[in-house]
Amino acid sequence: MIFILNMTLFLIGLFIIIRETNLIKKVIGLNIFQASVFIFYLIISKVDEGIPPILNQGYTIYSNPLPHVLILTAIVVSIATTSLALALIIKIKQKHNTIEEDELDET
Amino acid sequence: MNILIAHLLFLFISIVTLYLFRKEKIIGLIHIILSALSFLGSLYIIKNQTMYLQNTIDLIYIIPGISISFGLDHLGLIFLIISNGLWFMTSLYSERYLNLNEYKNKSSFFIFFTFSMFATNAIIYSSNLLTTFIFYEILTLATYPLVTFKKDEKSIINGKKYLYYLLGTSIIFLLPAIILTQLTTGTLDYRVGGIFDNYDSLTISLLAILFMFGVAKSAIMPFHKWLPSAMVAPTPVSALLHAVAVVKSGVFILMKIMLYIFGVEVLKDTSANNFIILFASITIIVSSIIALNQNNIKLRLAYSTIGQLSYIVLATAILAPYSIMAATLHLIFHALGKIILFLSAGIIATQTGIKEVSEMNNLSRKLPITCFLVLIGAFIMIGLPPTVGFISKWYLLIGIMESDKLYLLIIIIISTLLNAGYYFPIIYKSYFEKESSSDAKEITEDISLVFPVMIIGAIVILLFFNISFITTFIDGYIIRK
Amino acid sequence: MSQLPILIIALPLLFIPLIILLRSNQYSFILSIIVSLLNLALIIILFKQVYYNGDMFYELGSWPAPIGIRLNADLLSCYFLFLINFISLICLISSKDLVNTQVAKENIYLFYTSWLLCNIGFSGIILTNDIFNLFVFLEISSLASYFLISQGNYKKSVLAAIQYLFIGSIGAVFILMAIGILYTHTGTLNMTDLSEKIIQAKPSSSVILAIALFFIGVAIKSALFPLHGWLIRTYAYAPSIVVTYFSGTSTKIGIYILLRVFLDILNSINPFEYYDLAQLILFLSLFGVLLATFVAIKQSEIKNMLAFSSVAQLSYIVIAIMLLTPDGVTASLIHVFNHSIIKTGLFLIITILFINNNNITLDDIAGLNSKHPLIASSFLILLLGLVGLPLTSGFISKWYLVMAIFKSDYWYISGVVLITSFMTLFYVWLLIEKIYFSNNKFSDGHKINGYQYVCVFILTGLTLYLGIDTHFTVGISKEITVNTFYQLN
Repeated sequence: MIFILNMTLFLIGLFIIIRETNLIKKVIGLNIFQASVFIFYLIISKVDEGIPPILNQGYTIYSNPLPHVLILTAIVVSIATTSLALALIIKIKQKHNTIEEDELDET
Repeated sequence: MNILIAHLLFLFISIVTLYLFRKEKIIGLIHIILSALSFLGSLYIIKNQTMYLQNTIDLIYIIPGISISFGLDHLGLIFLIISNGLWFMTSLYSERYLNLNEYKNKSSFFIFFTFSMFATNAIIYSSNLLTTFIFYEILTLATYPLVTFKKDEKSIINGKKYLYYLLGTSIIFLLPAIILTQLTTGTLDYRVGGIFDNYDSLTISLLAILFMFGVAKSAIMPFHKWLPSAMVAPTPVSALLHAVAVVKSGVFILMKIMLYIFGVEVLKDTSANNFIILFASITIIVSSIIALNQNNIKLRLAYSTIGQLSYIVLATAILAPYSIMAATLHLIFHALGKIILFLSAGIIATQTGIKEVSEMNNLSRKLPITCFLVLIGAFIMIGLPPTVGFISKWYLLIGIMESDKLYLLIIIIISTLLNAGYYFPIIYKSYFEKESSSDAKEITEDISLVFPVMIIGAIVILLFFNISFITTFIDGYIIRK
Repeated sequence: MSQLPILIIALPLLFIPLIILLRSNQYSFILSIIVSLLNLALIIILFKQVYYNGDMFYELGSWPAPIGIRLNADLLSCYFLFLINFISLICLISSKDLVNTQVAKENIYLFYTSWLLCNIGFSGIILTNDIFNLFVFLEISSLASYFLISQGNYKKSVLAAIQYLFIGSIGAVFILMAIGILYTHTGTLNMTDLSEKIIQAKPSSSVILAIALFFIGVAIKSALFPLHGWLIRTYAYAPSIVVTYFSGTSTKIGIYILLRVFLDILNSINPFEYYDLAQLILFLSLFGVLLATFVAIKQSEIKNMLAFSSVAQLSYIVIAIMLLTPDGVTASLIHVFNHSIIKTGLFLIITILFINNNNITLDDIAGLNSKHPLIASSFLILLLGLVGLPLTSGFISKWYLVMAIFKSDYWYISGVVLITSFMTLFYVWLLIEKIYFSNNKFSDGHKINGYQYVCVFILTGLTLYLGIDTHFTVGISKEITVNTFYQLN
């Protein structure tokens, strides 16, 4: 069930990137898209009855910490992408005075 | 050092020399000297042939197992002497011709001319298919600047056609054929009796067709259009390259493929030669019919060349001993005859400006020697005695009798009639037709133009009376080996 | 010596802060060249080591392999590493005047920084033995390349950059997703470990999903037909020297990932067998070759023409890979190298001739022969190499490609391959005719500096040399095929 929800998020993100013409909205779509994958990683790291992976006496089952670490890296990448995209959009706004893609293609 | 490599190296240095001394005044002379040296070199090789035959040299391995390698065989010897000898004659002619026609940029002409001869000689010496293929492509590229030498709209369009036909067929047909050969046999060397030990008739037939179309320099229809296109080039180019070096390279390669790659037995066994015979026959007839309708002298000669080349291919593909003899002889005689015709056409165009057959009325009054040379050339093409053309046609007829393909006689007879049909008008017009407008302009024949052609003419006549040394050579070394 | 793999990544990283701190256009250029030279020297040493002594490992932080991140240099890595860094160096050397005219003055040091970062990303992708690391390095190089593209002097350069950013990010996220799925099945990110554990994982539909996602991601990165749209746009609007650099590197990185992931790591589960994936890609690529060649003939803008030619040539590489035979892989490896050299050379000549990088049409190059005869003949040789005429490296590629096709089950596609390779001649000859037969005067009058001449001659010389002496390309490619991809057979 949760995978289906996750996949829905994935597809929504993808759809926004492809469908939208406004560049800012595209960036938002990209973020949703990336977030869905981050969530996917978090889902797979969950071990049944596991607790957060901090050593704790009395508990033997922990959730898998590795995907969390991976996703930390991926989030950094995602933020870098977003910030670069926003910077580029500012440039585009300065140059073309619009951020609607269909208008940009005409210029 | 090996003499073959030395010869090629000499030709390469010649190109460099011509480039370094590219002064319009002296370059023609240098070219004559270089071609004479190359001719002498080839005579020397012939004299000491036993030393160099069947002695291959691997230069560099391009692809693991396949090298650029050079060697010499008896068929190559014949082509070697023809191409180098005629190159020398043409070099005498072309210096004068270019001056009279006031061509600019003579130096690049001679550089690429020598480059083409370098490629031709390399094709002669190459002892495996890959080497042949490499220099085959180089020959195409080397002659392209000569075809487009005038650099006008027409020559560029024709040059493009020339290039697309030759490169296209070699990429689409010849290259896969070579690769397929390499895959099936594991070798690309020319070997007496062929290199196919295990074969099935489908592969052989496929390869035969691929090779036939791939070597488009032999101008078998439907890939013949490049040859008429190439006629925009200056006459020495049409004469030496597109009647001798380039087209004969094509035929030479096809002969070598049929004799030394497939081998006579394999071809006979699989009847793959029937495809080649079929297309060659069609080419002979169709090209003759087209030639009948050509008014431009050079174009008529070009279509005649297409037909004559197919004679050679046809004769080889019949695979009877005498027909192979005929093919080899015709390789020589057609070269001699066609170069006479082209060079004469060049003289006529230079001195009178006549380029069409219909304008040739009573030309023999003005240019008696040239017209007599045209007569000799035409006789060779038709195959009439007392010219050598008769001899090769004679052997071809015997060869056909020898084989079981008697129906080919009909094709030979029809084509001979057609040949006569398009050569006799030229002769008739130049000797018997009255001039339409009396042109008072007196013309004396330019002796330095005519002289080299006269020599070739004399050789042709002499050869008719003393042919045995060639036939025994062919008989001894090419057929009975 | 065992530190070599990490040095190749770390050395440029050490130089980057220096460049940023100095903020000098002059020094940033010199420093990047120095570091690239050093890097290339290191790579050559590494290559020799690997060739004679076998694979080389470096474990980051000394954590042993499945737990820690490992860098792994085998022949395949070295082959691509050498190619990419060599081309990067060549492009850097000839970049000086070009960057000064095309890139805004205040951005030049950032331009070189990004260039180095991009190259680090490429090197990292090639060297890493950790599949998540591969994603990170891919993003590093991508982010840097978005910036590089946005620095073009066209009004639309930034737009091209952001469009590439969206497409590239989609590809990257697909790859990230695929990595996640593979991780759930195997519990490891180490490539060597993964390739062993994936066999035990049941071939479920989610593995197939992972394969599909990964492939689409890679296909976007390497501009495989029909996902090549970004390549055309990018090549049209990026600074010309960046185009030259990318033409030989960025798509080839895609090919590297394709080979590494699908034929090395996932080879044990035959990823291309699901739903006849290989066949599908093969015929798509075949169609791609045809279409790209046709479109290239119609182009009047030279860079577009060369870009479409790149799409066609990449499709040849993919066709060779999708034959899934040892010969096919060998052919693809040979062609990767040869085509990189040739295409970089072609773009480099266009780049240095037209410093202003405005629309470069066929008419602009007319009469080149009378102005720069040496450049013109280099261009001629490279173009003939593109067609694949003998004595150029293109011929060797074609020989092996056709040979591989003949040996495979798909012998009948050889016709299309040969005909399209002949059709290459059509657009090549449009250029050659303009160069040699046009009466127009070549208009662009600026001087070409000596370094640029040398770079062009090196690439031209290599094109000829690799066409005659094939010990390097063919020898190494065969060795890679045997060592990495088909060691079992």
